[in-house]
Amino acid sequence: MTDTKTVLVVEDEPAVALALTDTLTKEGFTVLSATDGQDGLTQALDNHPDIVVTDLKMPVMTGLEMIEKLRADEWGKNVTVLILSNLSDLETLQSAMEKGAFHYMVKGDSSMADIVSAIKKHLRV
Amino acid sequence: MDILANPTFWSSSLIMFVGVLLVSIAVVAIYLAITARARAGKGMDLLVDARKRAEERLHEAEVIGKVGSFLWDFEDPTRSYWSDEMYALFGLVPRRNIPTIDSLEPYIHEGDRERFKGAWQRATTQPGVFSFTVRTVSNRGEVRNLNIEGKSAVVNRITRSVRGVAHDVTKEMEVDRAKSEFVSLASHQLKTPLTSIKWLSEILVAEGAEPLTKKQEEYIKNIKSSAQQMVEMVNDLLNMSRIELGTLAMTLSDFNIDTLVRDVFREQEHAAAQRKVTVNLVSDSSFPTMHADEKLVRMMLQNLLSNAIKYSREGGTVDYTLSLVSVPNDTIYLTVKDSGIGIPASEREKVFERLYRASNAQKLVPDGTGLGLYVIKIVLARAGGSITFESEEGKGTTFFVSMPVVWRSGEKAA
Repeated sequence: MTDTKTVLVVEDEPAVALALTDTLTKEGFTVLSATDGQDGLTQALDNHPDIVVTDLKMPVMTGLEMIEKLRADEWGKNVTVLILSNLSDLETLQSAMEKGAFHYMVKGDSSMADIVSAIKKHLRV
Repeated sequence: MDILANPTFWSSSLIMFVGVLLVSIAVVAIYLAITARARAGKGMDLLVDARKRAEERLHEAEVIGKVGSFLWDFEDPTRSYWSDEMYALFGLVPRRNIPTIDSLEPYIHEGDRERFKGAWQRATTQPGVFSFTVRTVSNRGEVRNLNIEGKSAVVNRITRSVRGVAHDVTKEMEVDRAKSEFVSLASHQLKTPLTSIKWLSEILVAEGAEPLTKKQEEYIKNIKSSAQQMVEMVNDLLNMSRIELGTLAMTLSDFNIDTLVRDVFREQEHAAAQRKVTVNLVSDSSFPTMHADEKLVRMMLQNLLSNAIKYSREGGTVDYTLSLVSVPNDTIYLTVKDSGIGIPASEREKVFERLYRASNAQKLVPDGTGLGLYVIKIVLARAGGSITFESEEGKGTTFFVSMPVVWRSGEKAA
């Protein structure tokens, strides 16, 4: 990779965040971590990552609220957002897509390799 | 003149005697008639009382049990009736003429009207018993779930009568819903810690033996495989609760079935090796792209393969074969043949029932939800596919799955 891409991981569960951060770092990405939607929003607007990978159920601010606020920003309206959640009901999924998520993956049904390949596909690396 | 010798005396006396006798008989007859009538009246009163008491008891039982009874007699409409509780269940006041089915429409929940009409149509045209559940809305806006069960008398295609009971099952349905919601919530909560166990062990396995010893690597592989099993169980529970709550969503996308099936095969290689079961996979990379719910297809592939491995004897063989039939429709066929314990003949009918596990399966593998095949059958039915099986106890089971390459567009699966 000539140009290192930055991934912002927004995840409140430490063990899940650890797995994501370590794997993505090993894959050569610069990884930023946030533990709730509010923290994620601040970091996204400050650092302009290439992709935001976010959980939905989080304290302080949910993933959906964060996406909504991100889409209201001039830079944030175009950034790729990948949702990684265990909420897999139709309503949540539709709502996420309406609010501007690009991709939705169910954690329990995806392997680390699936997630890495989805991120690479979106970033064309 | 001796009066006794006078014949006139004797004849008039006889006449008088007969007259008195007749009058007495008449008096006795009248007395008897009057007392008999009184007795009969008393008997009738007793009968009426008994009937009234029986009716009261029946009414009480109906009120307590929230059950209403009805009879529509089309041959002799005067015999038709609705019990008071039947009116109460619809939020109506008892009236002389019982309601017609059409006049009930405003009291049926808007979302259930079409279903109600269809169910009633079937109930009244097909002889025998019927049962369906419908939501009613009273004038005050109170919603109830009524289970209507009954029997139709149809002779020469003419419906003579329909009789039955309506039972208020609102509470039961609320409890059932709460139970499904709880299962759904608990399963979601379980998935998060499971995800980290799965991913972290995946990372360790992917990093290879360095710096892990061979033994440590084996432990990690076992942790990963157990986490995978738990993910599958939690998914079964979640899918069951979604089916019951009516929220099982089908999200259709394009994917390669050959890649998916090989993925599932790899996932379970370790479990198969542990049980010394050989899995022969037959698939073809030239299969057309499927347009279906990938998660649900994965779930079916996982479930059938893990069952085949679990219920095989040590050293057994599983043939896992995917094939494509293009005529008349593009359909993917999956055959999963194991050389395992088989399903006892007496239990075959129950195999697809919710929570059912065959007795010999429970002995061999005590843990299991009994939900996998139930969910698969429902999902396939919604997708336009099917699942059947052949089995011989002690020799093995073969499951046959057919599913369209292109599933019906994004409708709710329940």
